[in-house]
Amino acid sequence: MVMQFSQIFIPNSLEYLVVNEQLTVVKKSAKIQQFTDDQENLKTGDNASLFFPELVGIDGIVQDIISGKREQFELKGVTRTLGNKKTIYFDLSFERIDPQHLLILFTDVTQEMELGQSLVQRANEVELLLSHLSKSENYIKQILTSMGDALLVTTPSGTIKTINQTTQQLFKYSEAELLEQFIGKIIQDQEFLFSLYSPNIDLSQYQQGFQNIELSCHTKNGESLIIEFSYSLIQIANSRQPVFVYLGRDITQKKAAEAEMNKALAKEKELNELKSRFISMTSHEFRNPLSSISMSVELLENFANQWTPEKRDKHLKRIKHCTEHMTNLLEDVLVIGRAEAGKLEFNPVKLDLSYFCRELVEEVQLIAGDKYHIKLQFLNELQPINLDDKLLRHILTNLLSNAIKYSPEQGEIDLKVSQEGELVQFTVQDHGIGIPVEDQERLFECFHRSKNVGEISGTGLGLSIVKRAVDLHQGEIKVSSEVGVGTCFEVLLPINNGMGNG
Amino acid sequence: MAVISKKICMVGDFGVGKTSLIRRFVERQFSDRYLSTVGVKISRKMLELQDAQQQSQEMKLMIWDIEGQTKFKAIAPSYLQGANGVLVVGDVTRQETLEHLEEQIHKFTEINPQGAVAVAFNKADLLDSEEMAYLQTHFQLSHPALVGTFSTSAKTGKNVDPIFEQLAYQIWHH
Ligand SMILES: Nc1nc2c(ncn2[C@@H]2O[C@H](COP(=O)(O)OP(=O)(O)O)[C@@H](O)[C@H]2O)c(=O)[nH]1
Ligand SMILES: [Mg+2]
Repeated sequence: MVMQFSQIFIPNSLEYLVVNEQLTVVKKSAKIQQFTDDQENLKTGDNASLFFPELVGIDGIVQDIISGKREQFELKGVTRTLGNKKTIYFDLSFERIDPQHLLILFTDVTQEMELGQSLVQRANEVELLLSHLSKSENYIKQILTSMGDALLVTTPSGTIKTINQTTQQLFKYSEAELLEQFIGKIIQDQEFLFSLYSPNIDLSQYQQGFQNIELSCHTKNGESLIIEFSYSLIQIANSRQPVFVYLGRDITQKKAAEAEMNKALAKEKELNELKSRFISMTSHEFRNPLSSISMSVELLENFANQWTPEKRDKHLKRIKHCTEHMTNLLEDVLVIGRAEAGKLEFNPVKLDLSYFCRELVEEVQLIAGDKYHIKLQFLNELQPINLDDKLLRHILTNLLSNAIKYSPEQGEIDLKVSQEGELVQFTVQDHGIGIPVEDQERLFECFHRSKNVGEISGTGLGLSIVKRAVDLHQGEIKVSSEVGVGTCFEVLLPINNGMGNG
Repeated sequence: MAVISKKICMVGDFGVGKTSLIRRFVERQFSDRYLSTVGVKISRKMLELQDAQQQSQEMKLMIWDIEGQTKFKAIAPSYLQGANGVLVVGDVTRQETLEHLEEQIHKFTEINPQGAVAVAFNKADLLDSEEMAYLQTHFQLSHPALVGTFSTSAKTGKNVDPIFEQLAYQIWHH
């Protein structure tokens, strides 16, 4: 076979193969063996693709070049790992020699490629690292922004360093308004702030964290919030100071609902107590007069015929007295019932106060008998005034009869009346058993009776009625008392209630 | 029976695990160290294929490990020429590499309209199965030449043989 191409000059320094259309090796350079992928010796006549896997699949390209359809073709940076594990890189370039032959040139580019490799390596590593960093940062950012709990990070001294979206929404501050600020800008609880952020505090105790601490906070516009915080001290890196991380949840509404509920419960409890106090009062207070009545009635039934008129009269009087007493009790219950139901009315009328008082004192004195003495004094001249006479009667009779009831026989009771400007003042002073301090504040509660009343009977309603009557006048009642010395009630009522100056 | 030789290429962004997949498939090995590939390296692997009719075929696969695509450097088309198939690889932990898959498939089939395509969602060992399932439904690829989409792991070997074999089988029966 004549090799037309043999005339072509190929410099010695180049490694090459000359192949035909079927990639059969026609000619080769001396050291071409170093580029083969096989230990076996490459000989002319061999199929080049068995020694150069790069050639597999490019038959089409080879044909295109040989036939002149295509100018040339290049494969750059082909890697070959040699038997001794050494890696070489080379470029392949394909060029047409004549209508049957192709020249494949091999250029060793190992040095350039190795240099390139170390550059690419570094660039890619940095790129990978950045990609992962930004991804994990994004990941955490997204979680923090989207979570429903407020997040706050502060330095050990309480400077806010990080917040999330929920924190901004909850406290109505923008990020710029909170960052670098003291956390006391939103947390109000001074005791908490002081305990956590005082200088020289032992931080290690906060490492295990605290759960569900309720703290009062406030928003930018002064609205109060109750936030349930969990917080702990976190050491992010050894070289950096630790931070406090707070997670907070708004429980303001939950708290309000709880308070509402407690109020309703307390009210219900109060009503129940009232009911049982009412039952024990009535059973106690009605039993005595009722048994007196039934005893007198029985005696009258059996012995009336044999008794003197005086004796019969005595028993009839007792019955009358007892029924009157029970009527009064019932009256008190009815009044307080009306007051509780808000049905006690306030109807002021023009009143001649000195006349009214004299009449009333006379009545009470009559019932009290001569064992007690009520001294009525007007401290200054009284003008005709507007007061509700029915309510005023409740006030004064109750205060006076209490004074009598809790005074020793021969006791003296003072009622002083004075008028000063728009107010009228009544003072009822006795020298009786007094009211213990602890009972004074519950004095006006229905059915409440002081511990020291002993055998003295009573409903515990009188002062409740007084209080309500005073309230309806928009007046004021004060008590001062000392056990074993006496009690003084002071009632102040505005005199032109609801009537203008008419 | 004659051995047939076929060329397939590995295509994908740098660092997605192309070299590692080949290494696992050919040498049954894996390394955590990243050594970036420059240029191209061709590995060979003999496969014994068998079809439903019990016909069998020995195939010598020439697997082209091509320098990965970076922001700065596209894949040289000359490497892809004459390939019978491509394994397009994405890294399931790097969303951007998955977003490039479609374009990479397109680039290959433009040069080799007859070529077969398989897609590897690689590094599947790094995601839990729930996340993998989510990924696969959200990165649904469709292309007439697509043989299949596999979640692979060069580290554990998961689906490595199947994806190469599936691709080879498709090339044989094309
Ligand atoms: N966990 C895990 N890592 C992998 C996997 N495949 C590759 N890698 C790692 O990913 C990095 C890049 O792999 P390499 O094969 O060089 O990627 P290439 O640039 O596409 O060739 C290396 O550090 C590998 O160890 C895999 O399936 N799982
Ligand atoms: Mg590689």
